Amino acid sequence: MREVFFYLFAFLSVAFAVISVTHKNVIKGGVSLLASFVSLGAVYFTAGAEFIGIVQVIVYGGAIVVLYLFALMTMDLKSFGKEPLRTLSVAVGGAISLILFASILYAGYKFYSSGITAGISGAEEIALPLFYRFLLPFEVVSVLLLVATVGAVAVGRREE
Amino acid sequence: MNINYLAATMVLALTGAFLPVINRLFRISGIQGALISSIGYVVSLFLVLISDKGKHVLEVFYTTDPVSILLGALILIASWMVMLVIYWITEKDKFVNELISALMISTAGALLLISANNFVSLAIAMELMTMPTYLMVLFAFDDKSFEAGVKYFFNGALAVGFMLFGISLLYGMTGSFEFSALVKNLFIDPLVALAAVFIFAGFGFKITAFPFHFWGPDVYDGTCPGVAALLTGISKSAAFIGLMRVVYEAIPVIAGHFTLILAIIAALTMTVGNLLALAQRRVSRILAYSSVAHAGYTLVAFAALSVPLSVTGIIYHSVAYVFMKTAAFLCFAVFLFVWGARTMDDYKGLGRREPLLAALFLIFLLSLAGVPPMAGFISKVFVFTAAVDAGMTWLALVGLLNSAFSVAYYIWIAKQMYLEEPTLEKPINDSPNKNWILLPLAVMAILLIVFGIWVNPVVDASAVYAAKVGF
Repeated sequence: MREVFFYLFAFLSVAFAVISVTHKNVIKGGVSLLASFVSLGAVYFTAGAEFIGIVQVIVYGGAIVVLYLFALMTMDLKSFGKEPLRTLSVAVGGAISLILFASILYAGYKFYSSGITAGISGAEEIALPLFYRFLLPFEVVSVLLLVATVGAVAVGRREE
Repeated sequence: MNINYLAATMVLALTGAFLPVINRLFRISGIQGALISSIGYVVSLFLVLISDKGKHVLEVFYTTDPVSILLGALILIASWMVMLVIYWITEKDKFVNELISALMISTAGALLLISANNFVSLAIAMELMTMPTYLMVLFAFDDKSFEAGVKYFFNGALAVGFMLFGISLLYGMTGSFEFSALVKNLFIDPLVALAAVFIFAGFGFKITAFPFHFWGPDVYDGTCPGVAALLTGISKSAAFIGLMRVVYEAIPVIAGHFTLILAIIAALTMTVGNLLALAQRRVSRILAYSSVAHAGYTLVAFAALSVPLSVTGIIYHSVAYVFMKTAAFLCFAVFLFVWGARTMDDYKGLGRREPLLAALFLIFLLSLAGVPPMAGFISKVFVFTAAVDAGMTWLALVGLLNSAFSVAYYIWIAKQMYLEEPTLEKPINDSPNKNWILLPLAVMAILLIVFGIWVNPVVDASAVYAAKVGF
């Protein structure tokens, strides 16, 4: 069962990545990039690395895609479609992707052959110290974040 | 940590957190806000005072001993008085409740800091104490407070960065966050020694010790004086106690090696603070540099760490300091608000205009100068006796010389207030209920005199602590 989901999400992740690169509409490309990141997070989950999966969804799916979309909002999207394809840009970009692809293949081959130790970087190793051993400091940090929020609001509204 | 002490911190932080919410819902006036937060302070103070009874939980992170109960109660009282004065001065401001909220949460951080028992809780408590003050320094929103706020933010970030880097080095080398881990490995691994330097530098920023003192006066002068009262008095006293807990775990190992460097830092801090204070014309800058000098006096007690009397010196000086410096800045705040008095020339004749307020200010200045019967005198006695006991008579002499120096500028302010003809004709903010503000200041003056005569509470608390660290 786990393998089925692993390959399903791996396929989805690659498919959405291809859509995000090839689609003419930039916003649709951004949204499929988000889908690609989330399915990559699911791939991590099926592989047993829950913590990395969560971080993948929060950091890439949450923060980075929002940043992309914000940057896109400030641009003139209409002029994007009229832009002709430049041979030089495509050649340089293609060469960089090829090198990256080759190095990932090589690293995956090396890593696969060297054996894997399971059981680290799970959520349990993070959760136990955070919510059990260091519970009190963790709770104090929540007050700290509250103060930061109140401060940001007070400083921001002061301008009016 | 005692369960009552924990509840006290929570009550204080929650009252602070809900104050702006209550204001948004019901549009409370200044007096109502002061009442609500006073209730928070009184409940919290009561819980701190009964925290020698009841269960203990999570003792690894925070410990409740007589030192944290004593200092916690005094910090709460000082912060309460600061709250009342700030409400009185900035009642008209739309965001005063956010300011008080930040003040209360910062005080909760100070309560945690004085009971911190390992480096994780120390760093987090120090951040909780510092983070709200970034907002408070910015509060006046004029050019000067922007400059002060930016300076304070960058120096504070640098300080906490130093400290966290040191702590993570220590954890990487020893795998432990305990204070004692620092000492046990100090001379085994050079990286742990580096960690100790970084941690001490972080503290140095907080207590404005000599090489890290430069930001202090600019910030205390640039922000509104009520906030400066919190920064100089309460935050620094709490940081002294935090540093004491780190250093005194280390007595048997470092006593021989580090007294000289601490003594040199102490002597330089005192001298630099006092000499620069003599050169100032603005009263707020005089008070700011005198706060640097007072950090030096406390470091004298740290330098004498091989004798048990130094514990009494540190704790007594923190006790006296939390009242006298806070109250001096509050007096300055009231003078600034009512008369617009900033410079020495403005203070001419204010003793005739405001007899009661000037008398209170005189009490705080004399206590800062170290005149009996105020607590400032007896704390200096303990500090310098500790230095002599530890065999550093030269340091005690430097300290006495500095005290004599410092009397010059404190008396100069007094002379301007009482012996000169008034220059300011009429007050800029004349409020009919002006005399109410004397009440919190009088409370602090009375406590200062009480602690100057009745030495038992502090001496007993420090005896318990000294026994705990193994004297």
